[in-house]
Amino acid sequence: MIRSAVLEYGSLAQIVLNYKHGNIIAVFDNSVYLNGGDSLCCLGVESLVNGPVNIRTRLSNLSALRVGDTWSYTNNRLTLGQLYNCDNTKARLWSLPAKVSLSRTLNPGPAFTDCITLIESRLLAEGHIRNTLPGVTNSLTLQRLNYYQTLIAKSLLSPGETEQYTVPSELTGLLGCGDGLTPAGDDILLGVLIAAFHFDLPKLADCLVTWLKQHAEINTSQISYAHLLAACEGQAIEHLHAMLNLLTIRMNRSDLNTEGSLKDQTEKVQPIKSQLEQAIGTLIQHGHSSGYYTLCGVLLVLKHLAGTTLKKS
Amino acid sequence: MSTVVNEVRKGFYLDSVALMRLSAEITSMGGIEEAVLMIGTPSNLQIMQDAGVLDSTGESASPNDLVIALRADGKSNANRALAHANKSLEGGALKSSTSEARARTLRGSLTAYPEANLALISTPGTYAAREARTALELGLNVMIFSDNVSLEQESSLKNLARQNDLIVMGPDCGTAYIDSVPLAFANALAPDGGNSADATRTAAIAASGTGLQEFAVLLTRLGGKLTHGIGVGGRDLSDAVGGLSTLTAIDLLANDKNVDQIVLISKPPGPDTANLVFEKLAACGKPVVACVFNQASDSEVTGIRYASDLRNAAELASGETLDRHDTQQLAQELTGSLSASRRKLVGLYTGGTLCTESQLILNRAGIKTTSNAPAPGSSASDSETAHRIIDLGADEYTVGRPHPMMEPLVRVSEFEQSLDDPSIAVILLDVVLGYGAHENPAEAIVNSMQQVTDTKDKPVVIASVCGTEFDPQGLHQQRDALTASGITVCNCNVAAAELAAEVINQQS
Repeated sequence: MIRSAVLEYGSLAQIVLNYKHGNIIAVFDNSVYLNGGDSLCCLGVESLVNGPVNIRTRLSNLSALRVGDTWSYTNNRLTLGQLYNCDNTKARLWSLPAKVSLSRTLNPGPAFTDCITLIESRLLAEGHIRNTLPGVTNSLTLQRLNYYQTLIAKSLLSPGETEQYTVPSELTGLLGCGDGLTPAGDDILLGVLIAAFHFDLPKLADCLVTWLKQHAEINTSQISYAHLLAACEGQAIEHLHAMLNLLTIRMNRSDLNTEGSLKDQTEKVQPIKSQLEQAIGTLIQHGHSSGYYTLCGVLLVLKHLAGTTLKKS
Repeated sequence: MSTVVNEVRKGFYLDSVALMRLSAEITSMGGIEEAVLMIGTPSNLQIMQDAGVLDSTGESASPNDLVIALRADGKSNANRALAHANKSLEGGALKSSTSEARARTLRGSLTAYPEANLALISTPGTYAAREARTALELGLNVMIFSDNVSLEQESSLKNLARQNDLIVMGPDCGTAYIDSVPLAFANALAPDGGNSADATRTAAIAASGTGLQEFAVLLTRLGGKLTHGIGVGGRDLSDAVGGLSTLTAIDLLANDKNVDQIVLISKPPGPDTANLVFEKLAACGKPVVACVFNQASDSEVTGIRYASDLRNAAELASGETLDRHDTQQLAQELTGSLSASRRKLVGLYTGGTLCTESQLILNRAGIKTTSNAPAPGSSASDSETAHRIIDLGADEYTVGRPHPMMEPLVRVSEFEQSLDDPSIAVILLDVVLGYGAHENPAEAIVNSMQQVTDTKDKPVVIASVCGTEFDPQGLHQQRDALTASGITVCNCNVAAAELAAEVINQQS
């Protein structure tokens, strides 16, 4: 049996480990999904991103494991399929990066526009590569995703003067919509929800959490549902939180807009912008299209936020 | 007419990239109108319904199932595509093609392949010892392909291995067979080590490279079966190392029920080590053949059969005899066209052990040789009048250049110079086939032969081919090409050296 070590684990992954034993329900080259009770977590290699349902280990490849293999967790040792034994004694509990909040004295304007333009241009560029642009192909899935994003913008994110958010019943069609482990529709919703938490839109977040807990379990896969449940707690992969923090820093520095002096541009704006661009790039690279669609969800909220903030001002 | 076929795989997860690639692959198959592979969420089922690819089977899917949905021109096209999808999903092809495990460290490799018990180290020599130590500490046996490992490091590694019931093969171990599996530069023997199940199962312990290859080839050609070939490295039997790996190998082979006899191939061991090794061999409980180059007969140990050369070792181990030509008569035929002024011999070798063996045979025939890698009885001095046997794989020929077994052109200039030299009577060559060797080593030799303008007065070229019909280059193809170009091809290195010696003696 190969001995290895757990490096970091998320709080929801810890809940799974507390069940002490369970089965491996999905195996990929670099990660496996473990069940414990009704919960799931994802255990992977060192390069696996930190997140609430993830367990990062020193293992380098997990494809020797098989679906149905058992796992057990006793005395801080996690045994996988009689092949691997991971010591958990020195592992760190991953926690969310400290949130950077939007400034209350935010002066909307060029900074908002700048961020939105930046994200849109990256999505456009990546969309050509990943064939994820609605309208680029005749794919029914892409048409549908496009339709639901418009629905979110026009319905969910248009609460009117009362600020009472309501999820249109039709939006259940977005749950589980698309290819892969976490269907694109779920990724978009996750992006919307985490952005709602991040940008302090509690009414939007509450409304989505209630709706997801009612509808997600039966409309998507158990793996995707596990990530959505984590999002209901305001947690997602650290790439997303890092990107949102940098986005907020950029927006809070509305003094550093594109009309600043050449000196400001060079010394103040560019470092933040380049960090943000890098963070957006990292998020987009997550999974095949998970990061991409999550960013689509964030963009919807950002536009909503820009609209309401500008209106107020 | 369009046919819709669905299949549902319960609780089956595959990553998005693999799913989309398979989906695209199937769609591009002839007769396929539409193919969708998606998890069976209500939303996706609706998409499939709208796309006209869903049937009642697919409708039953749950969000945790994979749905393979096809619309094809006719049932046979649909079934063919479905079979392709299933084969891809079951065969692991999707997984391996997406990201084959490429561990960057030994630890990572072991994690990926926990059943592994041997590490092959092929790094620059400076780093080889460190990696070998890591491997030993991880409980792995080690084959060090790298050279430039110091004697102190070798000794230290082998001590560590012996303390932990492990073995270090090498350093500079170019060839090995473990459970009949060839490692590094090795010939492809017949499946399962060669020949019939009732053949005597032989295991060889040898220094490192072509000696083991030649023995393995000849043994299997004679009907024998090689189960293991352990390369211990050229310095293992020196007193400085004390034969640590050889001793471990003897222990392992003595206890291996799949080994009937043991063959040791080596240079003469250091005197202290010789006692240890031969006593252990004599007491191992299995028949032993020792082919120790230039071994003094008074140092032979009772109970061990001694072979004079590699051919003899293969014959003793197999109980069969390799075909012999009439060396004297063949030499007469070859010298018939040689002018009297041609008296010298040059050997251009790619294999170090074969080079040594030839020197010993020539010396035995009374022909004094010089060499850049002199065997006992040969001289290192390179006089104009001497018969020269050159090891082209030695450092002075390979620094900054590929080994001549990999790149035959390294030998070409020496070969062409020798062909043009009016004093040369015989050019002796080895051609080594097998994994790692050049894909067509005969080609460069044949090309040089074709450039000889004076076809009446040219040296005799004698070669042997170390190879099997299972080798990627093909034994008979290589032999035929050499023969067609006018080269005399012998069935082993010993026979080639003996023939060369006879030609030189007849010219004198």
